[in-house]
Amino acid sequence: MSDSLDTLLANQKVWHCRETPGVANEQAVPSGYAKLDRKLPQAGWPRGTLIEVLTNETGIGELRLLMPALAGLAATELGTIVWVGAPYQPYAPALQQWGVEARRVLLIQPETVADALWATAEALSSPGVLAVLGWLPQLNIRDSRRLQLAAASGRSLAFVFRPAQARQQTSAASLRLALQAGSRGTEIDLFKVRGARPCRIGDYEGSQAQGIYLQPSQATMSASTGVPQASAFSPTDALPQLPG
Amino acid sequence: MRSRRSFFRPWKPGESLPLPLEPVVPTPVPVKTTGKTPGRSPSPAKHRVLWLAAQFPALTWEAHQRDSVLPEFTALTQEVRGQHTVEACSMAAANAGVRTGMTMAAALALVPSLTLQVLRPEVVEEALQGIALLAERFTSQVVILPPNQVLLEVGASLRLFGSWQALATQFLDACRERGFNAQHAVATTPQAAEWLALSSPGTSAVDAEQLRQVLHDVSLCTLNWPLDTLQQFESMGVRTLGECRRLPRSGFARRFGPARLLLLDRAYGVMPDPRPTFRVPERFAAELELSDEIDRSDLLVEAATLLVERLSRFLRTRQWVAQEVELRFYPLLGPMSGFVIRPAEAGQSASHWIDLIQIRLERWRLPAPAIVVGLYSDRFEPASGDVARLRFENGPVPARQSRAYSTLVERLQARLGANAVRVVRAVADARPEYAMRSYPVGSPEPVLAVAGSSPWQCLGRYPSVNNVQLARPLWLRSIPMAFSALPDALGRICLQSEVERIESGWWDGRDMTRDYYHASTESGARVWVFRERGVAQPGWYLQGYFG
Repeated sequence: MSDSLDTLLANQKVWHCRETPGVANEQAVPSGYAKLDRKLPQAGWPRGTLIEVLTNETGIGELRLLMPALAGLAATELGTIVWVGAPYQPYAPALQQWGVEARRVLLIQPETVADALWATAEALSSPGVLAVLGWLPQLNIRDSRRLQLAAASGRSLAFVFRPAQARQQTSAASLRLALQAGSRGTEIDLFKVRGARPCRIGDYEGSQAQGIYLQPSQATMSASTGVPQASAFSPTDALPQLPG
Repeated sequence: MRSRRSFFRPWKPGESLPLPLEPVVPTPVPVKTTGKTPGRSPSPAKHRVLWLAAQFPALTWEAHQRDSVLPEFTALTQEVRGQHTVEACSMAAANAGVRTGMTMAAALALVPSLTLQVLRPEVVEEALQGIALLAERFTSQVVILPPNQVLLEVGASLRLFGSWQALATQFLDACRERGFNAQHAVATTPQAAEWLALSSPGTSAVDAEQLRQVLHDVSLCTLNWPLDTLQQFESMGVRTLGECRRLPRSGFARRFGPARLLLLDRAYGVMPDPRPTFRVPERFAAELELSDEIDRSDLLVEAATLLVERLSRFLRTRQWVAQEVELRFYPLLGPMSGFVIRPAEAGQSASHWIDLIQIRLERWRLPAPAIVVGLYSDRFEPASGDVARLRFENGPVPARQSRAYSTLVERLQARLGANAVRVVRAVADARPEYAMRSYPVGSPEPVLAVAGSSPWQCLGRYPSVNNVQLARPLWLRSIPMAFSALPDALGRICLQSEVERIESGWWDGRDMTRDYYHASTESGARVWVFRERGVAQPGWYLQGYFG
């Protein structure tokens, strides 16, 4: 092949609309959400490549998105799930409820950005790791390429959490998605997908999420406390008026 | 014919073990010497076996005193069944009336200025090992008898020291110089020497006749036998070893067990008494002198590599792995510096150690250029290859993490520090804050309320309606946040579930009475909130996010 074509292909600005051979051999991990699996190129989260999740909010489904895949992976394979620089304390009973054994989880709390990056790359290239969840607010293109290389050297699931503003920056990740919460569930914006078209998925949890929360109409008044269920209140002004 | 029949007599259950009723004295087998093997060395000259027992009555106190400077009035305490009692104390405290076995409160009532320190068994153990090392100067056969005795076979050393008295004096003086006071006894059997040092210090029994005479009057109370056994002897009118020996052997074995009979036989030298000999702990130390003072980490790694290769050879010949190594850098002037590397799993291979040293050196700031690099290790364990366990073996398979896992943990800990690499465990506790523990990898696992499997059951791939109430948030705020302190950006909150009331913890003073709800914020986040109960102005708090 000519040198000029190689240079062109090596340029990250050129979008490759086919699966790269190295990735195609890796089997993907089903995400557990039917809507999402239909849109992902290998019908699941690709292994051995960097996946970026962009969100500014906590609690909108950024972890629920990964939990079925992590549980499925942990149930079938041996290995550790490494969390680097998590913003809050991952809660062991909840992990257990989702089917991820707490003893499979390794928490790393680095003090500096450089250490967090190093620890993420280290975990990605270790053979005994099933998945890496890294919270890396600052990540330039060189660092993301370094992580992509580390991810490609192993076969773990590599998730990197970044703020929504990072969407404007270039990244070496082969899959990038932004989460946006709305009144009707959380929407996934798959804006970079290697091997498939970018698309949006509204309310990715769909009917699966209906199970976990009662509909407002089903909620009842609790007789013992007199606290109205499923009522809206504002934490700042409405609270004192609630009957105690 | 008769002997054969008795040999084949079946042993019936319930019958006591067929023990020789008369002590069996091994008859010496004459050594046949043939002229055909002239090169064979003759059997070593038989020397008289003589055991010196040294008993250190105040070893606990002396060891602690040697280890650190203690105030005049000090007592060492130990926790026994939840109560702290005095185990040892200083002379001044003893004169004031403090005794072993006293409770802490009683001792403090006697001497209000008493300093209390927790007894450290490892200090005492180390002191006894030090004494054994000292004893190696006098004989090649030393036996340690915890907690506070040492046995020396001195018969073989008599020619060098002249007499056992001279040897004993030298040994006890050397001990006294190091702050350990001993009482001693000498006998032809180790068991007799052990008892005599306890019951009548200073006695010696250098032949069988003398041994019988001195042992005759040894009180049974000296022996470490259970109280009810001693009372049984007392009721039979038996108080000393001599009286004990006069009892019929078969009856003695039936009543008090064949093991005690054997013990007596060993003390009297009728039965052989093999003892495990103390072995000097091995230690690896290697130093490398550099041609020039260096502080560049890559050159230091090269120097360390040479040393690690020596360590690796040392370990390989002994089939050992090292639990930790210490690397030290000596400058031309000034104090030395260094660090200890303690990996998650003991290792043997050189590359393993070099890797860890390299990571550590990258972040290590050498105070001054080094001229000598040293590598030391004295904690080893036998190497165990990766052996697959047999399938049909019962019992839980030990939780052994894979090699890849421990390598990763070691590398992370080497750079980020042990505290930054943590594991989590779920605990059976209704209170959300206490339902989880998080601790550094490698630190001892905390005792969980429920041992074994985790108390938190898997709710399925996606929690269903039936167990909505029990679903826990993936993110927890270990300190709940009051809504009044939250930024307005959270907006209005909508309760989404029925109440889950948690009332627990009245027994440990951290009780909580709370009503928990699942809720959603205006921005679409799912949160776990609670309201306090039983207080005048119940507040709302944010406990976690459902992730």
